Amino acid sequence: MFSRRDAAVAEFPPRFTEVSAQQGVDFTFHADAVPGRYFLPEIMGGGAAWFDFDRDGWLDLFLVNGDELESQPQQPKPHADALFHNRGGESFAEISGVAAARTSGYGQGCAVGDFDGDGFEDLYVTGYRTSTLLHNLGDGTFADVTPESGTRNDRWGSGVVWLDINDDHQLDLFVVNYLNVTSQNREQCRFSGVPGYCGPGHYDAVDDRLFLNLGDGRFRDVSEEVGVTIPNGKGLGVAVLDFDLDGQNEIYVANDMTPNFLFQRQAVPGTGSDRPVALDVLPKFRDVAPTAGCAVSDMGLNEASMGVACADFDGNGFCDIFLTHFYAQKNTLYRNLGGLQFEDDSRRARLVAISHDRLGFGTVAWDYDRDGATDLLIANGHVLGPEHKPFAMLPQIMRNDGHARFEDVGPLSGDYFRQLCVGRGAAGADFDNDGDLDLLVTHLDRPAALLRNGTVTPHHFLGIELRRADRLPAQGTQVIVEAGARRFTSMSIGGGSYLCVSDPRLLVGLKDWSEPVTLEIRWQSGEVARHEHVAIDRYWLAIEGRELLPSFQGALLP
Amino acid sequence: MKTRVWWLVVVVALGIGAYFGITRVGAQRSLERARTAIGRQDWRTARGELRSYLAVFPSNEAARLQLAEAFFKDSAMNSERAVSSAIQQLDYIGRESPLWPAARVQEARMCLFVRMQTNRAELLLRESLAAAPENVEAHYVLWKLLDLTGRSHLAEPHFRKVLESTPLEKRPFCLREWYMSQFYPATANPEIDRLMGFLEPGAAHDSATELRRLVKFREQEPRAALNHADVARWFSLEGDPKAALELLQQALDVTDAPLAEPFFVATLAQVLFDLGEFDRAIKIYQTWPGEPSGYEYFRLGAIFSDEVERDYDKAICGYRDVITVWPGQADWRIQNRLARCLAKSGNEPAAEAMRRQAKSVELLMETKVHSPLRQSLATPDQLEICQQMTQFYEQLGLAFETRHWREQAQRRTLEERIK
Repeated sequence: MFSRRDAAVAEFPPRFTEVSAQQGVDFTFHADAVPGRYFLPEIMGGGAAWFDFDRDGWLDLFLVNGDELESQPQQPKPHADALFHNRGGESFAEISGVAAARTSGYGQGCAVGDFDGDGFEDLYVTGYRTSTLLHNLGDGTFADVTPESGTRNDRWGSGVVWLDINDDHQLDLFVVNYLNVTSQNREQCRFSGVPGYCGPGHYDAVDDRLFLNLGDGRFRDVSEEVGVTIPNGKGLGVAVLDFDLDGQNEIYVANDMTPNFLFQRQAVPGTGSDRPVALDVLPKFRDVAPTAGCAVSDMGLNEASMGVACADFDGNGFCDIFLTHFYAQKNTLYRNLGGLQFEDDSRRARLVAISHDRLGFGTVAWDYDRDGATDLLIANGHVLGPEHKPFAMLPQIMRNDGHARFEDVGPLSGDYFRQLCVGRGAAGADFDNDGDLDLLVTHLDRPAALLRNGTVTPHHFLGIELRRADRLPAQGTQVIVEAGARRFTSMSIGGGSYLCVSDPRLLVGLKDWSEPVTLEIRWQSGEVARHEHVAIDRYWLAIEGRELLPSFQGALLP
Repeated sequence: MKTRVWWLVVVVALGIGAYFGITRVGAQRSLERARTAIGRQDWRTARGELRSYLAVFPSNEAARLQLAEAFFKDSAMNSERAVSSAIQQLDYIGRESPLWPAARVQEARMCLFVRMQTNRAELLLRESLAAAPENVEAHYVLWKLLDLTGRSHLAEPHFRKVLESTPLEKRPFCLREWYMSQFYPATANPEIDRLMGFLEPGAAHDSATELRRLVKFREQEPRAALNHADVARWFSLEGDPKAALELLQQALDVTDAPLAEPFFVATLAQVLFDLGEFDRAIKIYQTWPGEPSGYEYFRLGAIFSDEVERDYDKAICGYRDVITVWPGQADWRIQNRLARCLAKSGNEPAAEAMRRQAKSVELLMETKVHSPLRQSLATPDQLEICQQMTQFYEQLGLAFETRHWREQAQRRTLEERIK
């Protein structure tokens, strides 16, 4: 029978076209996969970051590359990272050499943030027992400042995010670490008699790290002091946002087969406030995931969390957590009940049936058809090795019916979604500034795919670039769009997905509402800005404490 | 003339008497020879002797039982022919006979191990137990049958009966079997799987063995809803509820009264729930056949109250009910759910206590705990092993098992002192 939901899907199916070659994005991650070696890093893939490094209003693209895993690192590394300069949404030009945007060692994830407050976004790249902090010099080039910054992470780093942990208006750095795997302790496992990569259960965890920005270009490792070194965290994904709308961000870490973490800043003793009384007093974090109900599944099971996407999927005003998981496990939706309480609502969300035969990594939450309900992209691919079937898998687009119930509409979404591939990182960005989110997916078995969104929909949107008064990322800032009686809520989120950085702008789908809207912005400082009669189907630049400004071709003003 | 006739009658009577006397004596000797042959496992001879005996004493039901056994246990015979012949013998034993329960158990064993008709076997065993509730063999076979059909959670009362009647010094072996049922139900009986041909000699037991077994059971009794539910449950536990639902839906059309089988209803409700079909799941659950109690009934009810109705107080009561039924007390997943419910209902101190309890149980479920235990259980009557098992069950909070392992430890200690 043809249901109303089917009708909606058939009416506005997602349409994505792979335009990598046409746009000049030609990049293949060098995994250094040596047959029969089964060295785990080679199966984990690499990340990507969308960011406007030259502030020309168009999002550029950085792709992290691998390296030789067991030979001495060479400088520059033979398999270079790639920085693609966006030429007005028409094409990309590879400028890594000119820009000196190159890291050393086997790269993994990345994070974008202006750590020195010079107005140009810098880049931190994690890797297998390596890391690089690339300082954006503002003249179109980067400088590797890792040694002098004190941000070297010699563990196996994966997800990473910039955030301000102590309200000093300086960006600190949270690095998620994965496993203690080395050439010496690596193992080969057998699955039904066939050799393959051993999973996280075979290796010890390594602690995550928090680097405090000292304000003079140097950082200090304060992981222990602030309490983020929880044992047995085999972390991959990370997201920073304000789950309980208390004006203070939490850090969510997706761990692979160990309980996930939710770091909440604790009240400073004697003050009753969670804000430090002085800059030299560091806040303390506590992992509240077990009590909040987002550490393990509803069955109490540790799940193999890889990617994380946070959004208000059910429209209750709070950001939920979506996690991608292992093959024959469900992907999980932790529904946010408010008051920092979550429940595993994967069954109601109908995720069990559509995720058990996939192994998900990168994931992006966005509203592809602007119907006001946040949908999901998932990059899938197995990890046991090419000898095992299935290895390559179909990527998925999960359509949200508005009640946080999902169905896989991938097969309707274009040729890319009908091809088996070994997906890893996934990031969304409106690279052509046309008001819809395009996608980028990194792979192990083929070049990265840039997918232009060509979904035909009569629905409307509002694009918002948030800028805090102190120019820090607007993580945790909540945006409420009132369109008549309907309210659409969205939040700026730091991190997310798997090893990737997405477009920081918010794109709010307004469904069939075609009139100006009211926009309410709840800044982390506590300020609430209300803007009436805001024109839709365009981007706005919202600067804290100021009126809305029209955005130049969709991006931020100089 | 009269006298001659009288003598003739006497001679004929004596002759007949002698014939019967000699025949009876011969029959008794046949029975003795049959027993000797059974002792030697010379089934063919035993059958011949028992047939001779039964020709003279056709109503001797004990001999019928022995003859059935001689058919059943003769590996040289074609198994189906042997079973048919054996069952034919057992059919002579009527319901009014004191041997009727034993005959039904014998038949059940053949249905289970040879014909692989689990449904028929279970029916016979339950009939046998209705007539003779203390029939230990029936309890034992039913325990194994429940293991083999993925329903170890129903096996506890049968294990207890078996244990009670097991001599004290043999109990560690029985307790070892129970440990396997509790913690490795799918692979608890590798010898039976080998005997039934599901496992090659020397091959490792895995989840595919279990599937082969369950599929075979379904093939043998395609109209039995329980067998379809068993296969569907396997897929559901492997994380594929879609496949499980397809199987159950097919079963609805081809089986007899599927919704009268609690395990079928429980599996269908669980699968629908996993697929997010909450309304259908609850509707099916509400048709629960038979006694509204037991692990599956309480568990599903509590989960529905929790996740579907979001009635956390009701769910808390429900989860507490589940914990009273095996394996609830050792089921850290249910304890974890209970902790979540307590937290959601605002009772954080109770939630924290339950969370801690669940965690301690979860830690006891890790491979690093069970691997050494399983290895040790190769010789379960060693003092150290008994102590180790006592400690394990004590930590788990299972009083019955703790008491019995402790008894064994004390017995071994005493024996060593006497030595």
